[in-house]
Amino acid sequence: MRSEADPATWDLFKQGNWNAYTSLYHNYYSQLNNYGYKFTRNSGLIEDAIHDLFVRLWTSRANLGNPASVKNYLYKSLRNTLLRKIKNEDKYTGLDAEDYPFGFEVSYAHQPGAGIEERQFSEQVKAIVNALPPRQKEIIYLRFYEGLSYDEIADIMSISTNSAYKLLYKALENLQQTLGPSQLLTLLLCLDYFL
Amino acid sequence: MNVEKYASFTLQDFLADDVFIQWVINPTDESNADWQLLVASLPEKVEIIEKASATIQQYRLQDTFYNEENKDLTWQRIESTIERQGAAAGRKKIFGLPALAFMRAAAAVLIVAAISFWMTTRNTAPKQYSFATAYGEIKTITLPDQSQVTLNGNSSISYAADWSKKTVREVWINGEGYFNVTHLNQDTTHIKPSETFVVHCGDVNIEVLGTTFNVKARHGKTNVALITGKIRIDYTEAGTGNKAVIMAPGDYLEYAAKKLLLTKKLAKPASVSTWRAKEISFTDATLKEIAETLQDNYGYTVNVKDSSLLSLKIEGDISVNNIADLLDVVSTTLNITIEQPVDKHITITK
Repeated sequence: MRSEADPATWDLFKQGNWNAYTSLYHNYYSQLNNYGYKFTRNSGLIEDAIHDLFVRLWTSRANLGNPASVKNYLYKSLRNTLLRKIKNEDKYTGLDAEDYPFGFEVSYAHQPGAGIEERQFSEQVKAIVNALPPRQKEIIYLRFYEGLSYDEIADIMSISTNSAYKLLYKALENLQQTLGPSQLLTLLLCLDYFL
Repeated sequence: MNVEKYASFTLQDFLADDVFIQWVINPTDESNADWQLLVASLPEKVEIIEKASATIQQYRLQDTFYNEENKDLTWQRIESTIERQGAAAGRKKIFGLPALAFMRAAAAVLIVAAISFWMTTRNTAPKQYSFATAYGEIKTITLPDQSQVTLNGNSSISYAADWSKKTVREVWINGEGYFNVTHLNQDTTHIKPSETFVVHCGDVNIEVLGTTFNVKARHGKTNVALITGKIRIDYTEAGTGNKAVIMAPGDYLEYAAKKLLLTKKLAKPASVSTWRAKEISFTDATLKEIAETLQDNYGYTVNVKDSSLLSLKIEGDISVNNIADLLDVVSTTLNITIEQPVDKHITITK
C-alpha cells in the first residue's frame, strides 16, 4: 500500500523540513522492523540498522533523488544496511559467511480459533514455505505479503527483473514439487472443507 | 480484464500473476467486480482461483514484529546522533587555525577551574539519587542519560546524581527492574567508558551498551532476561573466581550462592516484563513462585499449611489484572483452598 502523501513528504524532507523527516520515521518504523525481523531475530541489530539508515537519510538529504516509491527505497536501504551488519556479526561469532549469509524466516503463532482442516492447511503452507531456500522465501514474502511487482522486487533485492521472474517461478515450482501431485490433492481437499 | 489470458492458467500461474495477487491482498469494489465477471465466464477456474487465494491468505497470517516499544528510544538515538554530527560540523567551521591559540588558553583556564572545583568538592561525598517503590507500586525512572528503568513493587535503585561524560554509567538495584538503556556507542571497536552502562545487582554486575532487559534480585537469587541487544554478566563463581558470560536476545540466566544455576532460551522473552503493564503473569509457575511474587511484590503474607503443595505447578500461561483474579485462577486450577481472613494474609490448604 502506498500513501499518496509520500512524494510531497519526501520533497519537503529533502528541503530540510524536520517534520517531514519525522513523519517518514513514524510511517515506516514498524514496517521496517517487520521486514528486518525476517533476516535476524536480533532486534537490537535491526534498531541499529534503522538508526544508521535514518541518520544517513538526513545527512545526505541534499543529494537524494526522487524514488518511485519511498517505501521500496527504505526497504532496499534497510536490507543493505542490515545484511552488512549481520555479515559483520557473523565475522565476530566465527560463523561461515556464505554467499547469502542469512536466513529469511517467517513465523506463525497458533491460531486458536481455527478448525482442524484449516490448521492442517496452515501447517502445510508453513512447511512448504519453510522448506524453500532463503532467497525464494524472501521473494515469496515480498510478493504475497508486501504485494510488490517484479520490478520493485528486483530493485529491492538488487537483481534483474528477469532474475526476479525466474526466482519466483523456481519458488512456486518448489512449492508444487514439495507438495507432489498426491499431496497437492489432499491439500486441495482440505481446502474444500473451509472454503 | 483479459479473460483469454486466464483460460489456461494453472494454480502456479495465478500465484505468479500481479493482477491476481493485488486483488487477493487488497480487494476493491472494482477488482471484486472484475473477478466475478471472470469467474462467470470461466466457471472451470473457480476451484483453482479459490485455492490460490486461500494459499496467499494463509501465508499472510504470519506473525508480525513491529517493535513499537523501542520506537521512541530509537528515534532519540537518531536525533542525538544527528545533533552530535551537526555540532561537530559546526565546530570545524568556527575554529580555523588562528583559533588554536585561543583554544589552548581556554583549555588551560578550564583545567584550573576544574582543579579548584575538585579541591572544593572532593571532601563532600558525590550526591546520590535513590528511588524505591512500595508493595504493588510500579514506577518508571528516567536516568541522567535518558535510559529508563521501570521498577516493580518493593524494589529500589540508586545512582550518582551527576553522570560525567568520562565515567561508566552505574546503577545499583534491589528487587526487580526492567531496563531500557540508551545506546551511546558509535564504534564497536573503540568503546569509551561513558558508553558502558553497568547494573550492580547483588554480587552480579551486568555490563551493557544499549539494550532492554529484565533483572530480578530477590532471596539471594539474581535472574536476568535479555530482550534486545547484547550484555555481559560478570560474576564470581565459588572455586574458580571471576567469570563472565555474554547473553544474546532471548537468553535467561539464574545465579545464586556464587553459582550459575540455569541458563536457557526463553520462548517469549518479552513476557518476563509483562508486570510493567500492571499485568500479573506467570508461565509454567509453581505455587512456590506465585507465593513468592505475592510476598515480594505485593507485601502479602502467605501461609502454606502443607509444604508439599508448594511444588504444585500450573502449566501454561496465567495472565490476570489483579490479585483477586490470580487467587481465583490458582485455587480453581490447583483445586486448593485459599482463604484471606485478614487483608493481605493468605492461608492455603488442600
